Amino acid sequence: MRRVLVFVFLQSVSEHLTFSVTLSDGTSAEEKMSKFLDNPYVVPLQATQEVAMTSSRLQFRFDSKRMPELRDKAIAAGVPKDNASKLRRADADVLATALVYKAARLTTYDPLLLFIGKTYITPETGLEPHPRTSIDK
Amino acid sequence: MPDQKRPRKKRSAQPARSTPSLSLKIETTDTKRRNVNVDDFLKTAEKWLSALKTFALEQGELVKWEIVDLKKSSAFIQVQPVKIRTQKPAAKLVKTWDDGLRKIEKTGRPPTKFTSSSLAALEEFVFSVPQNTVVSVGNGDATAGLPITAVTQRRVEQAAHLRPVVLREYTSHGSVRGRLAVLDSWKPEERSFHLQLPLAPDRHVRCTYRDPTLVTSLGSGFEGTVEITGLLRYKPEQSWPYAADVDRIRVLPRSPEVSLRDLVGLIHLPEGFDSVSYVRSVRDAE
Repeated sequence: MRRVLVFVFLQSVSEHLTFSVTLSDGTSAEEKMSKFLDNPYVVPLQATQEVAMTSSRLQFRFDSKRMPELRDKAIAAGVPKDNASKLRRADADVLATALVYKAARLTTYDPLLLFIGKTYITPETGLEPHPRTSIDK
Repeated sequence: MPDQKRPRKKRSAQPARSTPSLSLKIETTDTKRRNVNVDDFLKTAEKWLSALKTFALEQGELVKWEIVDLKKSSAFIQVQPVKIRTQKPAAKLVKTWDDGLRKIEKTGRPPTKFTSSSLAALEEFVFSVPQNTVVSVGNGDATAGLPITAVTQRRVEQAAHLRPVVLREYTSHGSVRGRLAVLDSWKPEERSFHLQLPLAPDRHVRCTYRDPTLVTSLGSGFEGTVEITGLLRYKPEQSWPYAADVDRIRVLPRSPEVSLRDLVGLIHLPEGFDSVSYVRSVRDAE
């Protein structure tokens, strides 16, 4: 059986789905999400002190107020304008978690994370943020 | 008798600085209203004093801060640290602070003596400058005051982020999952077991528990995956806890009831949304 690594931020998604998202069959997402999260191969990751501080440093670094070239480069790489100015907290938490727990790969579809990953993170740490084309791979 | 005029004693422009001291001066930028608002003064002075106290504490100096000068005209206060044990001024503390602050202003780099706590307190002070005021700090020499400007704020912020925080062992309330592999003892005074972490198989989390009813959970969870909730203990710079005080144990199903593939297609994408924006809005509860 495959091992699936799921970051802790999904916990907040599941909580939100519980209260405000209806699935396409009209039912609440709560039951399915709870059962999925009980999968023994799902490992929720704690937001430790190191994750929190790494996230803070990433937000400080990847902010166009301090890195003026970030916005223009990100837009040129295809990142939507409204998401190109700075790394937001939730995305910084995700990236920080991957770095602290020494993940080899971070599966994401977020354009800014992909851009920052390719341009700065992969050369510096080896972590590869990239989208997944299939859940079988 | 001849008329003898006594020579006039010239008043010195500034009193001689006989004791080391630090000063804070607040002036308004409003030319029509020169008086400084008392709230502004007290709040700023409080943050300044807090930064000084934190710095002294981090240096291991037990001092009290005494007022040596106070002027209304421009809301000026001058303080001096005095060692509690000897009742003598802490001259070195004053110099270290003043030199350090000027180095930060010039370079944006943290001086050796400024710990992360000192820098955090300093950051709080420089960002507390009230609007429409000019705040200056000094070393008692009226000509050497350092105004707190936007550049100062930026430099302090840079210095604060450059100083790594010294990590110590810490605890955090949370959950961790692992394979229940070792039962240490059934003795009431030694209730503990080990969890093997799936992503770090060579790491065991030593779990201790007080509630004897948890024993039944342990039995059914043996060799399976369990989730423990309680006080997790971490060593510095370690991602995984090394020990836990367990409050609850939950045995997870041995085979998944809902897989990742089962989640595909559960939610329809609303019209006008791209999938990335929609997932982000769900994640961030927007």
